[in-house]
Amino acid sequence: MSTNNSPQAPRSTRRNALVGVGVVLLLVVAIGIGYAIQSSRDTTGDAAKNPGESSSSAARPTDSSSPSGDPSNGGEPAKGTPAATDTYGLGVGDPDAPVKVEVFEDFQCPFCMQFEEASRDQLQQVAADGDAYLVYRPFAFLNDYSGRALNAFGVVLDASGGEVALKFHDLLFENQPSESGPWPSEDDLVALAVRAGAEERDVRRGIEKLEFGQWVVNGAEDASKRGVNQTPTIFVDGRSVSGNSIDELVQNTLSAIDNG
Amino acid sequence: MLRHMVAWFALGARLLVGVVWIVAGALKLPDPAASVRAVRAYDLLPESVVPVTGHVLPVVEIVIGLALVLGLMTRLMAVVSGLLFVAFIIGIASAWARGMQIECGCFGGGGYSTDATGDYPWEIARDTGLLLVSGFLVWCRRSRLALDNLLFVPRFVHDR
Repeated sequence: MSTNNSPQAPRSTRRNALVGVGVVLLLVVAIGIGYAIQSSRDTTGDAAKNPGESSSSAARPTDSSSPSGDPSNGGEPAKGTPAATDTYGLGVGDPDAPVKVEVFEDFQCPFCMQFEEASRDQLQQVAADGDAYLVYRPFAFLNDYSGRALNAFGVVLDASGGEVALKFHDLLFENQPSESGPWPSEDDLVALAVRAGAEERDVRRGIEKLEFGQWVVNGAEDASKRGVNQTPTIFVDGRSVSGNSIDELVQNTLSAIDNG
Repeated sequence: MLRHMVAWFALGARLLVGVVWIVAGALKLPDPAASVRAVRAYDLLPESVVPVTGHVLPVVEIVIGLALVLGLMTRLMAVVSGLLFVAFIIGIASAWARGMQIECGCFGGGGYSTDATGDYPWEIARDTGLLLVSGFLVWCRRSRLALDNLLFVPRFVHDR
């Protein structure tokens, strides 16, 4: 078939080749345009407003790698007061505690709610005792509500401080909607924030305007880069804790803290 | 006669694989960030190429799918389609072998799944089947109702 003794063969072969090259170029250009559109629609990594960065913020971020603020130093929170940390987290307890526990969770995730129910009192006690620095590291993983709830959490953390944010975090899990809805409205989220101790005028606008929407997007990317592909994921000193059930996960977390 | 039937079979093969590609790509388009995370979850590619892969893959899938449905550059597209299926089979098999519990992200989504281990065999079987159909399209060269038939002059015009 490769040999062709028709006199027209060279011309039609050349014509076919030209058409082929043209079509391939067209397809490559289409892929290039599509790629440009997709990457411009992905805002991941864009500059974001992060909780604790507002000038009026009640939540001064603490860097877990350095000692937290001196209580006598003006508005700095007392050591051990819940505060924004590591850009995306809420740190509870002493940042200098011997062990750091990070809880990656999604406000929509039912297993996370179960983990919260099973672990909250013990983990917060361990943090209060100074045995571990507990970092809640919520990120939006599952659906639209995950993102709205996390944005609200960011707003509360920024405007009302770590103590109120911790309470709000607990309330969000205690009032978790079903994965198939109906989901809380913006008003419901504001009401929940107020129940946690926030002033409505401080948080309503941020919740309605998704003020921390970009922070939510960047936080999902950060979790993904740290290898977190499931919720809940627990890191003790940066190492993932495993468990075949929620109870096992809680037990393994507590024993990892004891051994840490 | 047989040649005739093969060309009709090839049309069916084009539509099958083409529609799968279009659906797979279209479901990933709405959330490019999630697509990037799904690629990253496999932990196979260096981080420097992960975002590009996540952004371009759904577009490539749709272009291949459309080209196959229309019968445009069918053989070349079938080759690319087959290579992609080989890559996906390797990715899923390696996630399985490493004991990872991730959704394949084949039709959007991605990341953790509780029953991932149960899904891997079926996903690999599906991709292998589609790989074979792609291979058939490479082999049979000609199909019915393809744009190729209008665009390209048959090389053996005298071979009636």
